[in-house]
Amino acid sequence: MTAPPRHAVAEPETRNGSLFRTEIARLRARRFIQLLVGLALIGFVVLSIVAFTQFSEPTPDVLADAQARLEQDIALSEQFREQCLADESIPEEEREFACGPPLDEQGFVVENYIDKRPFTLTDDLPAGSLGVAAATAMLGFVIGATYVGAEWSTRSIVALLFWETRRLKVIGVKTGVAVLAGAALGVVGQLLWLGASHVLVRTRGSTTAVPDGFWSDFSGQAGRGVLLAVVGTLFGFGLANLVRNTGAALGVGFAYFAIVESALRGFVPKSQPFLVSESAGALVEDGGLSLFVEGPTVDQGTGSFTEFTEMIVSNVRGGLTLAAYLLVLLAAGTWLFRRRDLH
Amino acid sequence: MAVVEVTGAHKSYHRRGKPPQKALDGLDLSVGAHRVHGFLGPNGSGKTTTIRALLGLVRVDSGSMRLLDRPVPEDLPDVIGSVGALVESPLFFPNFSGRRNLRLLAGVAGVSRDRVEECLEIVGLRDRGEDKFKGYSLGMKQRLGIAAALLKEPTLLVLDEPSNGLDPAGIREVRELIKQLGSDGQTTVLLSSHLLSEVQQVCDDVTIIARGKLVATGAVADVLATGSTGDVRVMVPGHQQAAYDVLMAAGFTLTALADAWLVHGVTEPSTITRALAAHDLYLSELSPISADLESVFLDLTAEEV
Ligand SMILES: Nc1ncnc2c1ncn2[C@@H]1O[C@H](COP(=O)(O)OP(=O)(O)OP(=O)(O)O)[C@@H](O)[C@H]1O
Ligand SMILES: [Mg+2]
Repeated sequence: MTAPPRHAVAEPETRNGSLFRTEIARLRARRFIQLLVGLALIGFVVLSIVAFTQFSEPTPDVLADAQARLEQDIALSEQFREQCLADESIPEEEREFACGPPLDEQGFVVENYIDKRPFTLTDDLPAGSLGVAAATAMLGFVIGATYVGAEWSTRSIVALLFWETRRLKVIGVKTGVAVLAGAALGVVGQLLWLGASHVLVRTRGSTTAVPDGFWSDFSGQAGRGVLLAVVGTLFGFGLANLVRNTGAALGVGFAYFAIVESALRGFVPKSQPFLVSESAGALVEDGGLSLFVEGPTVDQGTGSFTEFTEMIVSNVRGGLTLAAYLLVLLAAGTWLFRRRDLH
Repeated sequence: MAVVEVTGAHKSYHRRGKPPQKALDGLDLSVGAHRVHGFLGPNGSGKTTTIRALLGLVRVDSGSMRLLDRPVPEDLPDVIGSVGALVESPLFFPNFSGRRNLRLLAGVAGVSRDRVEECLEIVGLRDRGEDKFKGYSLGMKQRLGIAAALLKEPTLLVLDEPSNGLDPAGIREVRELIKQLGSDGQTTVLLSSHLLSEVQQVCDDVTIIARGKLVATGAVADVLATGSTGDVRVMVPGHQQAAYDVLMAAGFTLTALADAWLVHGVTEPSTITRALAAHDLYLSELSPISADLESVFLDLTAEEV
C-alpha cells in the first residue's frame, strides 16, 4: 500500500454529492429488482398473447350467426313465458313473479352469443387496468421491501450513515425513491396495458364507439391505479424498514393477505371497509367499491334470514384508509430509525 | 486542539429481558492532531462502542464528545466530510463489485471516480475492483473497507481493528499505510486494537481502556515507562530459600517462579544485589521484567478485577 495522494478539498458544491442519485443507482443496480421487473415484463407479454387468443373480431358471418341464435333463444323464452302465464296450477297473483319479466328487459346481448367476444374498450380496458394496478402494487411491495430490506441485512445502511449522518434525510430520500419507483412501475404498467389494448382493439376489437366521458373516467381510474402501485411499494418499504428484513416483511405481507384478511372477512364482515385489499379496490375502481355488509338478522315466522345492505366505499375513503395505515407504518419505522442504536 | 475529545462518556446497552450491559463507564479519551493514536483495550472494553458513539451510530447516556473541535453528535453533519471510518467488519453490498460499492459511496459525498481508483490502488485492489464483494477474501474485504474510509481524504481516520483477518503481509502493509498517513502532517489516525504489538509498532500515542474506563494514556514511550512496575527476576542457584529470607527481611515482596523469585516493587535493581551480597549470596540472574506494553497492558487492565 502506498500513501494516498492528496488533492485540494473540492468545493462544497461538488462535495455535496447526491444521496438521491446514489439511491436511484443502488435501486436500479440491484440484481433481484432487475430480475423481478424482467419477470413482470415477460408475464405481461405472455398474458397479452393469451388475451390476444381470447378475443376475436366479429366478422359479419359470426355476427349473423350470433344474431340468429339470439333471436331463437328469445323466441323460445317468450314461448315458455306465455305457457307459464297460462298455467292454472300457479296462483294467479304469483304468476308475474314466477314467470319473470318480459324479455326485452332481460338483457339478451348479441356479444354473449359470440364464442370469442371482440375486445371492447368500454369493458376490457378498465378491467385490465385494474388488474395491472393490482399486479404493479404487488410487484411494488416486493421491490420496496427488498430495496430497504437488503440494506438492513447487509447493514450497508449503517455504512451510508458514515457519509450522510442525518438519519431523517437518509430515510426521507429512501422513501422518496420508493415513491418514485412505485410511480414509475405504475405508469409503465398502465402505459403498457394501454398499448396492448390499442393493438387488441385494432385487431380483435368491436367497433362500438366509447360512451361520452369514458376517457376521463378511465384516465382517472388509471391514475388511481398508479397511486395504488405507489402505495404497494411504500407498504413493502415501510414494513421491511420496520422489521429490518426483506423476508420477514414479505412473510408478514403474505400472512396478512392470506390469513388475517380472509379471517376478518369471514368472522368480522363489518371490518371489510377497513381491510387493505378492499380499500385498494375502493381507491382504484371507478365509482368506488360496493360491498355487501351483513345487517341484523331478521326473524320472521318462516325462519331467520340476514339482510345485506350494500355500501359503497368511495375512492377517497379507500385512499384515506390506505394513507392512514401507511402513515402509521412509515412514521413508526422512521421514528425507530432515528432513535435506535445502530450496529 | 484535540481532534477527538471524549469526556465522561457513559453507555449501557439495554436488552429485553436482560440486565443492562454497561459498555462505557465514564470514559475519557483525547486524541492530539496529526498523530497516530492507539486505542487499546481487551475484548469488550468498549472500543467499538466509543467509536460508534463518535460517529453518531449509538447514543451515549451521558458525557460529552467532540470531533474536530465540534460537539457531536449535534455537529456531526458538518465534520463527517473530513472523517473516514472503518468500524468492525466493512459493510458492503455482497453482490456488487468492490468498485461499484465504492462508487455508490463516493456518489453520496460527491467524491470523484478518479479518487475511487486511487483508493483501490492504495489498498492494492485495483485489479480485483470488478469482482463481487462477496467473492473477496476476508483480507480483501478489510482492504476495501480501508479504501472506503480513505475516499473522503479524511483529516481524521478512525480504524476499528483494521488488521482483522489480514495475513502477515497484509498486516504489515496496513501498518505501513497507517504510519505513512500519520506522518503526512495532515491526518490524525485513531486506531483501535487489542494487539499490543500493533500499537507499539504503529502508534505515537496510546490510550488504554478497560471495562469502559480510561486506564492510562500518553505517548507510547511514556506509558511504557509508567509501566515499569519494577518486577525483577532473581536466581540464586542452590540458595533460593536463603535469598528469600534475605529479601523478605529487606522489605521486598516476592512471588515464586519455577526456579526463580519474582521480586516486586524494585526501583533500583542494585539494591537487590547489595542486599544479597551482604549475606554472601551471589546471583546467577537478575533481570528486570521488560516493561513491554503487553505487561503494562495486562497489569493495567487487570487491576480492577
Ligand atoms: N449491540 C449490543 N447489545 C448489547 N451489548 C453490547 C452491544 N454491543 C456491545 N455490547 C457490549 O458492550 C461492551 C463493549 O463492547 P464493545 O464492542 O464496545 O467492545 P470492544 O472493545 O470493541 O471489544 P472487541 O475488542 O471485542 O471488539 C461489551 O460488554 C459488549 O458485550
Ligand atoms: Mg470492537
